[in-house]
Amino acid sequence: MARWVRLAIILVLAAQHPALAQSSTGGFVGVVVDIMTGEPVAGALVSLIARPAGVPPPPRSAQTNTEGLFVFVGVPEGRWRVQVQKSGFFVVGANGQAPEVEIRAASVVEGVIQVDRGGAIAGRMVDAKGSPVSEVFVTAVPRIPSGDRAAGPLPSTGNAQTNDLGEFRLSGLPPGEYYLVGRPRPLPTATGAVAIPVVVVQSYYPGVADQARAAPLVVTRGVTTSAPDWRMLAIIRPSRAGDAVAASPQRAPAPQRATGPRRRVSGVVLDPDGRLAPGARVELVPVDRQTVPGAPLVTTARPDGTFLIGNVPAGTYLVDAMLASRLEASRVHRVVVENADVTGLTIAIVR
Amino acid sequence: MVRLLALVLILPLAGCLERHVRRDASTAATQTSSSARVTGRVLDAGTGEPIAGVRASLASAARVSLPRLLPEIQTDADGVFTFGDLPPGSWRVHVQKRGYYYGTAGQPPVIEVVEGAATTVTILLERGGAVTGRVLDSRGLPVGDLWVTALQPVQRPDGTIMSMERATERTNDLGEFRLAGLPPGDYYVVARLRVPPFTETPLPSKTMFVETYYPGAAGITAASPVVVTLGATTQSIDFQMRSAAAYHVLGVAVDARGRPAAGARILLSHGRAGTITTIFDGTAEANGTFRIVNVPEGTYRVQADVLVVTRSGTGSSTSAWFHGAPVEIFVQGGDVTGVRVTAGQP
Repeated sequence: MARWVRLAIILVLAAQHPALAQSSTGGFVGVVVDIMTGEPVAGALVSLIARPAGVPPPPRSAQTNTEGLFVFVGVPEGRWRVQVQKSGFFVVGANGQAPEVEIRAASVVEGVIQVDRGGAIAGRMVDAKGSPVSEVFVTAVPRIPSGDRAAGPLPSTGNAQTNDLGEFRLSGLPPGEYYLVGRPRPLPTATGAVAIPVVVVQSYYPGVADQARAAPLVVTRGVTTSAPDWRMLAIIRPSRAGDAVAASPQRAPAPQRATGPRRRVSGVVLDPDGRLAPGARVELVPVDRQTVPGAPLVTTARPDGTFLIGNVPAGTYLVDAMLASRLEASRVHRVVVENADVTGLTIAIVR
Repeated sequence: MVRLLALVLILPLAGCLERHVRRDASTAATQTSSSARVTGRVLDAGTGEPIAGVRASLASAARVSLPRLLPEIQTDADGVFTFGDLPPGSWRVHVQKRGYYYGTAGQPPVIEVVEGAATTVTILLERGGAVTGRVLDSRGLPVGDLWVTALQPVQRPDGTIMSMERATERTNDLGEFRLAGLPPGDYYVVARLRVPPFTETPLPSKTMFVETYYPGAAGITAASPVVVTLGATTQSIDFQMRSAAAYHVLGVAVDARGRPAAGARILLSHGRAGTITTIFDGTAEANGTFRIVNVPEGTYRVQADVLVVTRSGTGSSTSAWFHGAPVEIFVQGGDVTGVRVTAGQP
C-alpha cells in the first residue's frame, strides 16, 4: 500500500518535470515486483530500447530504488521495448519477448513489471587437452519445438563469460529447454602483411559445431542444471572457395618456410570402431630439427571421412587426428614431405 | 621445486627461439620487404606451456604525447601472435589473459623493431592466486550484481601506502565472486554497488547498501587482509553488506562572477588520493542547481568542472577540462542543502 502512495507522489513529480512540457516526449514510471513474494526488486536495471523501425533513439536506462521504483522522463514518443536485468530473475508473461510500452506526448505511463526467479545453467569449458578455456562468451538459446516455428526465433537468453577456470553460470532463465553456444572473443591472431584467415571458433554444448547435433539442457525454476566438460572447437572459415581445408588458420606461416614449393597431404580418418570419422580434427605438426616444433596445420575431416591439407612446405611432420566431441586421439604418424604430394594416409583413432 | 624445474625447461626452449630469431632476421633481410614484423610467444611461467587466447597489443614506446596503439590480436593454440607491417621503432608489448599477470618482470617488455627484420619476443605470464567468496544481505540472502574488488596495499616512494586495484568482478545471482590473476600478497576485498551509466536520475531510497570491506568493515582501516598465494585459491571470503540511511545533497554551481554555471559537470567523491571513489557524476541544470540523491553519511568533496572546446581556423578542435575548487561537505543524520561550488575558470 505504502508503495502505491509513493508511486502516486512520483507520478506528480514526473508530471511537473520540465522535460514533460515538451510536446513530443512523455514519461514512464513503474515498479518491479517479485511475482512469488510480492516484494519489490531493488537494484534492477530497467532499459527502454527503441524498436528497429526508423532511426533508433539511444537506449535509456534507470535503476530501481529500494522500493523497486523507477522513473523515465522526457522519453521520445513511440513504442519502446522494456528490458529488465537483475541477476537470477526474468520478466514474467512476456512469452520470451521483451514487453513493450507506448509512450505518448505529455502523458505518463505507469507499469508494474513482474519478475520471477528462473533456473540456472552452470558448467565448465575445456579444450581438446581438457584444459580450461577462459574468456568465452556463453549464451543460452531456447529450443523451439518443431511445428512451433511460426512464432519466430526466440532471442538468446542470458549471457556470461567463462572465468580463469573455464567456469560459467547463466541465471534467471525461464524454465524450458536450451542449447548452449560458446563464442570466443572474435580477434585475429595476426595483423598486417601476415594476415591470415580469421578463425571462427564456436561450440554448442557438449562440443559440436552445429545446433542440429547439440544436446538441449532442461532448465527448471530454482534449480541449477550442470553442463560439465563442454568442449571448445576450432572451426575454420575458408577465405576463398575451395580453400576450406587448405588453411593454416592457427598461425602465420613460419618465415623460414615462406618460400619453396608447396605440397598436399591427404588421407582418411577412421574412428575407434573402424568407421569413417567425419568432423575429426587432423593436425600436421612441423618438427624440423633446427626449430622448435612449429604451429600445426589443422583441418577437419570432410563428411566422407577424407581430409586434405594443402599448401604444405617441404619438411618433416607429425600427423595425428582426434574426434571433435570426445577425448580419443590417434597414434602419431611421421610424414616427410619432399617433392611430391603425400596421399593415402590412414589415421586410426584409438580409445 | 616444480617452478624451478619449469624455469630450467624454459631456458633451452628460449635458446631455440633465439636461434629462430636469427634465422628469421637473416632470411627476412634478403627479402624486399621494407616493413618489420614482430612474432611473440606467450608461455606459462609455471609450466612452460604456451597460453592460447592471450590478448596482445603493441603501443609505441617512444616519448610522444599520444602513444600509438595497435589493435588487439590474440595468441593461437601455440601461444603465438604476429604483428606485421610495423613501422620501425620502440614498441611496448601489452598482453592480457584472465587469471594471469606479468611475473617477476612486472611490466610489459619493450622491443626494438628494425626495418625489414623480424623480431621475436617471449613473454612469461604467471598464473596468479585467486579469492572466492559470497556477499549476503542482513537477512542472509545473496546479493547479486555487486562489484567486488581486490585492493593490494602498495608502498609509494614517499613511504605512504596506497591501494592498487588488482581485479574487479561482479557477484552472480548466488552472491558469489571469484577474483583471479592476483600476484601473491595481502589484499583487501571490498564490495560496492555497481554504478553503470544510467541515463535517468535515480529515485531516492531510504536506505542503501554501502561500500563494505571484508569481513564487514566500513573502511579499509578496519578491514582484515586476505592472504593470496601463487596459483592457489583463498576460499570462503564471505561477508555481509552494510546498509545505511541515504540522504540528498542539493546545491548550485556558479562561475567566478556568481552567475549560474549551467551544464557544469558535478562530481561528488570521497576518499584520499589513491582510493578516491566517485559517488555521483552528473550535470548542473540550466539555473546551475544540482540534486544528488542516495548519499550515505560521510565526508565528501563536491566539485564543478567545465569542458571548453576550442576550434581553430583549420577546423581541428581541442578540448580541456577546467577543474573547480573542491568544497568539503559532511553528510550526517540528514539532507545537505545550499552547497555552493565555484566552477572551473577557463
